[in-house]
Amino acid sequence: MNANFESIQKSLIQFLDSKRGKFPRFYFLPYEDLLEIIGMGKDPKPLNKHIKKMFAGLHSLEAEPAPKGTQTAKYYIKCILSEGNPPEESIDLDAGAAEETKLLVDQNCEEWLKELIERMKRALQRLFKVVHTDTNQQRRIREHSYMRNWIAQQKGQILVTAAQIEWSNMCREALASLEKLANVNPSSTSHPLKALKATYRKKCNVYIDVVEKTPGLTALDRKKLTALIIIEEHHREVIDKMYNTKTIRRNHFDWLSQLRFTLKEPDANDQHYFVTIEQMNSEFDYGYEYQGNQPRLVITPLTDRAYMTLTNALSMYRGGAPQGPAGTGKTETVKDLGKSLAFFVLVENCDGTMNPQYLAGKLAGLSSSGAWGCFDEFNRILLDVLSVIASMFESIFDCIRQGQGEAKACNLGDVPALVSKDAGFFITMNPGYAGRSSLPDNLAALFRPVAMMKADFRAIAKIELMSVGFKEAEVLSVKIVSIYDLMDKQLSKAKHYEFQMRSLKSVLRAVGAIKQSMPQLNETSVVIKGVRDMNLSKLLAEDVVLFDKMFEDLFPDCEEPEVNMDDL
Amino acid sequence: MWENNIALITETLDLLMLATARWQYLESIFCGQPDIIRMLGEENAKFQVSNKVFKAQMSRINKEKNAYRALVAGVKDFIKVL
Repeated sequence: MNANFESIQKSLIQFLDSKRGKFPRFYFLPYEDLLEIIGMGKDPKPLNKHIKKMFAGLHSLEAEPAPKGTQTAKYYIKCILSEGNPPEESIDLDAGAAEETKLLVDQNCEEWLKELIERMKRALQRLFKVVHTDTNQQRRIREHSYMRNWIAQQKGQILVTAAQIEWSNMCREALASLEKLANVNPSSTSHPLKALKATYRKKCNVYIDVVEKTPGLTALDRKKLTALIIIEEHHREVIDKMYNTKTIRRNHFDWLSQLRFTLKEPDANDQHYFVTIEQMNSEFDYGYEYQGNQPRLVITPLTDRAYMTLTNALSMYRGGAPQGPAGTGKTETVKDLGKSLAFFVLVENCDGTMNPQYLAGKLAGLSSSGAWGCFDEFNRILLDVLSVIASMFESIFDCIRQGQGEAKACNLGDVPALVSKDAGFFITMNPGYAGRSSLPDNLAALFRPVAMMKADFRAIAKIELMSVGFKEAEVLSVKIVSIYDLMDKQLSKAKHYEFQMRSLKSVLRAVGAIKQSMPQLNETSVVIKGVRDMNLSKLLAEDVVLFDKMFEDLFPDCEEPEVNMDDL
Repeated sequence: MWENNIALITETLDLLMLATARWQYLESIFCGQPDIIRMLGEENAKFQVSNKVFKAQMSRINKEKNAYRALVAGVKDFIKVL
């Protein structure tokens, strides 16, 4: 009986693996979840529980009864939805498409899920049309209401990418006209970069104004604006830098080192628009994976450099390996680059119990579906497993190189994979921690290291503050960071104290919430209240005295605002 | 002699537990998800046969309050059935 059961179990696994082979994102689900999906028949609802594990920003599917006369299915998929309840955003999968082309939920879930991915990509390509038709950015800067409408109407992902395309185009134009002018007086108002600089300063101020002064701004629009401010403030800084270094050519490093977006010509019937991204010598197609409205990472010189190394590694058919202490943003950088290029990034926390079969499954799933994998704390995996994995990575990278843009088949151990050109692999490590092995040489050769030692607290604080509508972000960010620095150095060394990125981020979040709920307070008071609220409760009695002194030094003549807390 | 018997009981019991675990896993699949049953016809037939045997044996063991009789003496070569 046992033998019988065992052989049934074996063929069951084989059956599930064959499904995974047909729809590689099934590799990201454990067998139990996969069984549930395969067993769901023609009802897509049970799928919603697991879909987050297979898609980045997609949280559920909206199904409607299938059109009459359909024999094979009860439902069709109408929209894909982002997170939130009710969902914040929905992407219409078949805008204006004919009845008979609807995406039917039939028996073969791997087939219609595959089609779902195609439709998601095409839906995004359709949405990019607006970038081409709406070029009225001057009006967006002039009129708040016009800007607000633009933001409310467009999907967050389109807004951010559109901003990146627009900025790339304007910089390209400015640099092109500079090349022609050759000898232009940098202080003259006709200097193209100077004009661009002014435009972007104005643009960022408009965004901040909209966040600060719009009563009843919806949570979704706030999220979109936050993401836009983070991206556009970076754009502004790059323009400033190019102006200051007297960049006058399109092949200047300060320009080439940026992620440069291009909107390509549409397909024959003007329906789908394509986006490509360049950085240094590497070029990528946009992934068209729906990202939702996830928070974006503040871009600092450090992340900029990391992006450069990572994209470069990808273009040389290698992986990227950010290394550094905890809390410097290794994983976040990989994730954010994935968001910019619109790929699905799967983060996998590694540990010593991982075996080659498990990892082979993950790698096959990632490489076959053209997704990115970020393996956190990769050197926690045991050394003998690592060397097996190294050869798998090697064959994947070989496949991407030999495939010349086409998918190419290979075997990872005994798991078959069809390697897509879009697949990307990243490993993060924290060298010097106890119990970590160092990478074997053949593995280390496959991954480009990026050192990430210290996050730029000030730049991050500044842009986070701006993104929630602070006008004096520049000054206030310096104060917040100095007080954190002082706390770290001068207060006693109590075990529970942590004045690093994590607590800084939570203070910034708190400050943002206070700003939103008490718009009557001035910005300095908001910051004082935020920092005190978040820290006083965890300080030891003797440190409170020091803490108060620091406040007096940094914020002379400022009292902590009296706030009525009766509600508590 | 009795030492042998105890060893045999332990061994049979181990196998029985293993079978129960596997049966539990498969039962939830083959007795609850019609789609899977349809896609895995051959495996399902195989499972239903073993399922019948398993259930019959389990209800016999359930009635039999003596471990020796339940696992060793009750059915000739019960360990081979497992």
